[in-house]
Amino acid sequence: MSFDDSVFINCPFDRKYKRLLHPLIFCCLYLGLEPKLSLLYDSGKSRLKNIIDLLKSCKYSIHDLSRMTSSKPHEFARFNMPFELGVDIGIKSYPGDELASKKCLVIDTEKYRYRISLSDLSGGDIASYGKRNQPEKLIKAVRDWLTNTKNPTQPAASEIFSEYVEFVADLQLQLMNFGYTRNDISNLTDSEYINYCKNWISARG
Amino acid sequence: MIKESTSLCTSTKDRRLISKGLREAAKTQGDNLHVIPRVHGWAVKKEGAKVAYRVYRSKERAVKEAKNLAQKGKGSIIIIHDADGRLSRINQVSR
Repeated sequence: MSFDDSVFINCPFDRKYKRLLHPLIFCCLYLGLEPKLSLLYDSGKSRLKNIIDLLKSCKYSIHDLSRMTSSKPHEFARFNMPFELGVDIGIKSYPGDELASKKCLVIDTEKYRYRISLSDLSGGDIASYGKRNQPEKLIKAVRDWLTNTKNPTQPAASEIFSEYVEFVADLQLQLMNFGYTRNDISNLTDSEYINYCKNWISARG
Repeated sequence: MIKESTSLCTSTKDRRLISKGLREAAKTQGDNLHVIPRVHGWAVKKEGAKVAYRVYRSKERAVKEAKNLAQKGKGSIIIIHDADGRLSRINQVSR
């Protein structure tokens, strides 16, 4: 996939976030973008080098800052996501036309929370998908952003979400045919999940 | 209800067969109704349709309406999703 058709996804990779990561990956693929996640690439390189190389290879990037606060006492907040956003903004300011054309979407559960913990971003605009973590709202945020930055004629968010739920039902039924269980969809590796999405979307036509 | 324990170990052959099954499923518009979560409630939707029949406030109401539609011949299987969009139950409707 070329620079113009690749999207870097900077988000938590824990089990709890899979409920959002899966529709996010599906939405990107459905709208013609190849998702790139830092977990999928060369473990021989340092993690930071991997991330910089991936960011440079993607015109689009999505940064989820929802874990900038801890969710329970004595839990540390996660700084990887805002750090990677900072690296991305730095790369965008490199000399050269291609990297200067990079587009990024910053998302969080609340629209203005970042102003407290990441005030350097003030004046920017971030998208919110709500405290209830609804996948359809996340899909809408990504779809609306790509309508403005990539292609003004994208399918409606409700259509993408409807397709997503049909894909999920088909995938779960296929997995169950092979003796797997309802939760096994969460245990798929990201590369397996991406591959199944691609197969389904390409056949959908 | 679908069982929830986990044990995933997919062989290359299984992955290939799952992919093939997915491609076939994507092309097939089954006689199914889906009860799916929406931002402001729960919708009943015919498989493959881009627009839902209607959005209801509660999941229970949407399931009830899906059963009514199935009784009227609009579908024979009701696929009920959870709040994340994942499959939670399948109901076969007898007319």
